[in-house]
Amino acid sequence: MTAADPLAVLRPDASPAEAESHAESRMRLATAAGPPRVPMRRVLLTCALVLGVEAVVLLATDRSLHDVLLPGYLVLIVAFGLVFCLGAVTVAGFAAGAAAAGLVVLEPDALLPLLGGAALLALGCGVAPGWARVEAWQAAHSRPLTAEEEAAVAQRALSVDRSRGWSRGVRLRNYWRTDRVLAAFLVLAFHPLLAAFSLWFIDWMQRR
Amino acid sequence: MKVSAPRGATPSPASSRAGGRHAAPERLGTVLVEQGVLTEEQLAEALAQHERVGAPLGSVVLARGWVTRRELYVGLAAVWGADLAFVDPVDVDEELARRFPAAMLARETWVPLRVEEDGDGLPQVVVATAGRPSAHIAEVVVQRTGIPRVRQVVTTDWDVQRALRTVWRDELVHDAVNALAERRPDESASTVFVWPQVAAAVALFLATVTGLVLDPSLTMLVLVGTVNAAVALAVGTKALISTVGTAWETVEQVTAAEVAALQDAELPVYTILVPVYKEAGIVGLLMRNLADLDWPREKLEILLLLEEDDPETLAAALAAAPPDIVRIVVVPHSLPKTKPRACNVGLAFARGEYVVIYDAEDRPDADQLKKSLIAFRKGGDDLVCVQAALNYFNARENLLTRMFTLEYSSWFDYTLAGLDKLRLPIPLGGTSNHFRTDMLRDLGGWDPYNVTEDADLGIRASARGHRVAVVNSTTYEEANMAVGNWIRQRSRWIKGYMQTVLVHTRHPWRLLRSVGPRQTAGFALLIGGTPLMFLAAPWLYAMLAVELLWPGALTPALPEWLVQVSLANLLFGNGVIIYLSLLAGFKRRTYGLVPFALLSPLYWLLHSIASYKALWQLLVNPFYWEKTNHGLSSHLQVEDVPSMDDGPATERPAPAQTTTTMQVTATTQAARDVVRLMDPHAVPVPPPAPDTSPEDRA
Repeated sequence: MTAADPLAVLRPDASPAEAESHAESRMRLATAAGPPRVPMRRVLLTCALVLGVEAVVLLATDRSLHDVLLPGYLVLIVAFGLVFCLGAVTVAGFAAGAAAAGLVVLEPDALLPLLGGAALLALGCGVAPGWARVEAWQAAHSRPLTAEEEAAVAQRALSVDRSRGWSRGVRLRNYWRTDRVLAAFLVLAFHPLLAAFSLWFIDWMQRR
Repeated sequence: MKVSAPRGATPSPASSRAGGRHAAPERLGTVLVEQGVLTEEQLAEALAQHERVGAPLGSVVLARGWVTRRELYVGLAAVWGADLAFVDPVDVDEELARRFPAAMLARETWVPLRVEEDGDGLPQVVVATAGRPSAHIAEVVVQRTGIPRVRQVVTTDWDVQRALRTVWRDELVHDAVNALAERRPDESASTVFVWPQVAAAVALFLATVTGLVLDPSLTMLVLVGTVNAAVALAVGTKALISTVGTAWETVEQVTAAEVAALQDAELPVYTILVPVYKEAGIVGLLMRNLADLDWPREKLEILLLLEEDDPETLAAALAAAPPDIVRIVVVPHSLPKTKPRACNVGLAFARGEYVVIYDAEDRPDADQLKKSLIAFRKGGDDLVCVQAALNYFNARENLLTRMFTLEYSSWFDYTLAGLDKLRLPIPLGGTSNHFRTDMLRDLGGWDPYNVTEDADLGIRASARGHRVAVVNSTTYEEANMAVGNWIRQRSRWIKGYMQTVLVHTRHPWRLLRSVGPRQTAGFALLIGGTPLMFLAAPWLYAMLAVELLWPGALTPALPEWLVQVSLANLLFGNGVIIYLSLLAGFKRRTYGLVPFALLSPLYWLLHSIASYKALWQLLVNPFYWEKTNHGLSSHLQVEDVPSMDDGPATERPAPAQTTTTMQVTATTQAARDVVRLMDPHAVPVPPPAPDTSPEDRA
């Protein structure tokens, strides 16, 4: 028997057995799942270090500011894009998007490749386990089980075996969410799109 | 029981046994068992709970619905060796009553009744108390009356409250409405504009008119430039604050482990204020929504604040037969009829160490009270308030609820978090603000003349050197789902922001000195900048439209660069708004809402409509409280509440209650108790007990 998807809403006409299975799955997620902890301080320090070294080296070799900024933005996009995708930290998407906007300002032709990259990262968010974990954790902490779910669970003495991680039948790969992918794409793509639109608008206003 | 003047006072043996205001639990339990209202098994269970939770035995048995309030006080009177009386407000000597402040009596739960002659023909003051008769009460009575003999009888706390609401009605209302305006007029919105503000506005208007006549181009340049600078600063400030807030999204102010480590015995009494007006349909939901709260019922006090001119809601509340932890406080009619006025009355009766406000339809996270308590303990002595996040349970109901949810997610998850991290003044949200009760009283409570009393209170607290913080817990509310209703609500909020700015900028230098330049700037740009952004937006859109349709049409009046700056301002502002909504929706994992963030500019135009309505009301009807209708959502399963014509309230069956942590086990008897105590005409009130105590007979 496949375990109920704990992140889905229980159907109103669900049978008692389904309700119990659903409640049990949610309880497991609530107790076993924790949001991934990304050491953001380390990420920031590492990025700063890499950017610093890169800037010093390129400036020392008499490269233009454009040449210095370009790889810097790329480093930021990759680093924060990965943190966003794998670490499930929303604000990292903001940082990656902002860096992508900077890149578009430098190289307007980079928009399409950047959007392609954003789409790939968004697809990555669809399968990355971090998001399912953080969703489960958040749902369990901010949306308490209903009285019926609690009652259903209480009827069976549920012992959570943490060593088994995700319990039997509850597989994270089941929790692909298309809406998450679309939303992630918007978070990553909004900044470069806005930057590109601004450049086009300014240009259009001047050419009229 | 007689407890005489301080110097001659000798605590009775009963007093010594009871220890404090509470009765010795074993003794009270025995009495209740002897009286046949409690079984031995119930007593054993109640004593165990008393030990575990640290609440008085009386609170335990009352919270479990095992005894009625009346039965409990009969037992307490026996334990304390005092007479029991049921106080009829008409028996209170009004001349005597005027010597005692209502606020003190409400806090200490006793009332003076009359002056009579004792057995020796000497005058003595009769006092009814809901606690153990004490030397302190006698001392206060002697101080205020000069009569050295005091007889204390026991009555229920509800009788005390009813007497206070009836006899001290004018004083309660006066305090609730005017306390702040009288004590600190500079901090009250009862005066909308002070004369320097009027003079400044008139001078500005005259200067603009004169400038337009003498040099229109320069005047337009200055006007448009100033508006643009203000909007850019306001948007930039919001973006900066929210960005700081986003950077802290992985930080939990209070962890689950800290919550789990709390022991029930160390928890204080928590008061929940629930102001309700013309919302009969959703009163029944209140208990169900608060039932999940993880807090011992014995240490919870819920004050349902109803208005005197709202009999339908009162009837619905009585019909819902709330358990004994719920007290219905009928707020006397007066103007302005605002939510803060009701909250001030509730605050006078609050007995909890902490107090929080919820709306009747609110669904707070179960651990919110515990998280707030921990936040207070970690936050230091200057922390006066902890604000929980608000969000909506009916987000997907229509486009408006979607947009509203995105906006709230951004505001509470990012902007308030950013304000907290930057230590800037935090304008409180409508509900789920948790206070230290004593500090809130010191602050003067809520300003009933300010229609966003919560935002004002947050700023006032900061101005007085206190701090407001946010906590990682959410209360789910009902999002406004009708445009007209939304504009009414929003125009009130924006008007309140305008009031708050007017109040706190009366003495700009004083504000600067008290909170510092950074906080002053943050306050001015966030609270003052918000209405300004909404007011300016239509003009910026108009400039964009003119420039698109008739290129160059503005340049005779304005320099080219200023037109471009204005358009860039509009673009940047909308970009910030869209992105913050987008990010906030993502952080809440409400992915389905995220694409709707792209519609934010349209949603913010609604704000502009509301802001012009607010501005108009500020001038013509500043204290008018635009009522928001609640209970419109299909997500609220409103129970059928019998109408007043369905028969006597005491015969109505109690609706089925959900079995939860805080079980709602009100019995029909409890319902009758509620009716009797709330409505003096429902059940005849017996006269005070005759003077038959052994002491008095002697």
